[in-house]
Amino acid sequence: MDKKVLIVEDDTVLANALSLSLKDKYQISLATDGKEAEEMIASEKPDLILLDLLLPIKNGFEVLRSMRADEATKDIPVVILTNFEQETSIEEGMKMGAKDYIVKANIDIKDVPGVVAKYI
Amino acid sequence: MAQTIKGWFFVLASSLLLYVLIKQGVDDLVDQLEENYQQSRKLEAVLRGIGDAVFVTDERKRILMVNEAMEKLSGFKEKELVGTVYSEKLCFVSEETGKKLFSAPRSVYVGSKEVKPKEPGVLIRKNGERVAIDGVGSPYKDSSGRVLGGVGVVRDVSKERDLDKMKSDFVSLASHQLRSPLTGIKWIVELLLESIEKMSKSEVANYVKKIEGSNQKLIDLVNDLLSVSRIESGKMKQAEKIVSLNLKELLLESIEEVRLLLKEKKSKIVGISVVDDKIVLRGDKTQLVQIFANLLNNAVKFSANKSEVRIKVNKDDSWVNITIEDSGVGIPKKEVGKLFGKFFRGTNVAKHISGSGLGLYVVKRLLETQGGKIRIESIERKGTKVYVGLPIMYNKK
Repeated sequence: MDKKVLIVEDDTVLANALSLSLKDKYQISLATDGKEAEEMIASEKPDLILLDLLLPIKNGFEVLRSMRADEATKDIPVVILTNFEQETSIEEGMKMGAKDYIVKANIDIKDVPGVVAKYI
Repeated sequence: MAQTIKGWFFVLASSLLLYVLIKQGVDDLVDQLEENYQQSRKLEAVLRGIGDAVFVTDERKRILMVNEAMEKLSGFKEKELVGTVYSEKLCFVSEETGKKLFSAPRSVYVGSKEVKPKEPGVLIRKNGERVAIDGVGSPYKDSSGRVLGGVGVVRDVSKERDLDKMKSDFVSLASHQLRSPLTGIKWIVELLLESIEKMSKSEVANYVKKIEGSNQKLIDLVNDLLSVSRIESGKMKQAEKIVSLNLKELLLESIEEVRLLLKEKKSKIVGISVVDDKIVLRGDKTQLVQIFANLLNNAVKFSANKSEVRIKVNKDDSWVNITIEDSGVGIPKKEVGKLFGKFFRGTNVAKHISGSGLGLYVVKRLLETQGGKIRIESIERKGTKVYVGLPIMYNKK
């Protein structure tokens, strides 16, 4: 239980389901917009980030870019977990060093802990 | 002697005949030339006047002439282009890759075949701007089939391409918006199925409520999408069933539509009791109720629980003005301009208050179909005032 996962998700129902699926194995924290995510990444230094892309205030790419620019957070593994799916966005996400690009609608909630375990 | 005279006469007669014949021939030739000249002038005038941009080259791809539309499209004057190999200045490239668009002009000049761009192309103008184009290059031949040169016809398709892009962006955004509540339902159902036996009744109820919420979001979103699609297909250019309506009854009916939300938030709509019940206007009832219900729903939704939303009505000879005022979260100042755009969501509400971002877009377009107008004033964290103006005697144009 010592590993920390930061969920960045603005939809409360989805954020809730993700926490429920992970809470038995990890310490969970939640950010509901891009700015909050940046602050929490800097202050909490999570062991893995589940990152949505379409977020209020700052989008997921901006979050990814700013955390990669910071020496203290640049190596934290990031899994993009989004319903936004375009060839260019997948390419851009992977180029920016995301470990994986997963479409929320295409993954079962019971498989999420497995994805986290793979990259943490 | 007579013989000599006869001989001279013969010479004179044949000379005259010859003269007449030659004169006629020359006249015919002059007429012919004149006609040809007029013909080619006419052709040139037609070519110049054609709305599509046209350039004509010789068999070595050097430009012989261009029309006005081509000058306008490319930014080059005819005299800058004539004599140059066309690809020197007229730079047609693929929109996506930036590579040359017509990779095989040989097929025009050697293969004597028509060529069309295989992918969306742009023309790089003299000033470096890129303009979306479509077109065709064809050879022109003499009577024996020998290729004399090529003709390029080019059309500015910026509007069409923007529209295409808007449509595909819309579909992509709409699908994303649909995916969120669908994923919500999927995940919650999975969690329920996995551990329903270990759950208390209230926990189960809690999960089911989440499913209900996501499901409602889907229904609202699909309804909004349908309105948008009707608007965009032009089916809603004009309101259809224009009848005389009592404004107060119309507003009461709209309030009825938000009754559930009012109950849930313990909020009130005030001011309706003092609305003049004699105001009658002409309009489409279903659409007007949809408009006011949407605006009232926003006002209640974006205000705190136990708030009051105020309706005010005043009229002059030709317009009736309805104001809906709330004391809610308001709209960030720099976002007010985007309010009526598709999928707009205020950054101050996007994360905790649900919505498709299509409501105001639909409201504005519906109002326009019956000659109405809308204006919004808002101060973040203070509240929002929506002004709707409707013509009292709306007549179909």
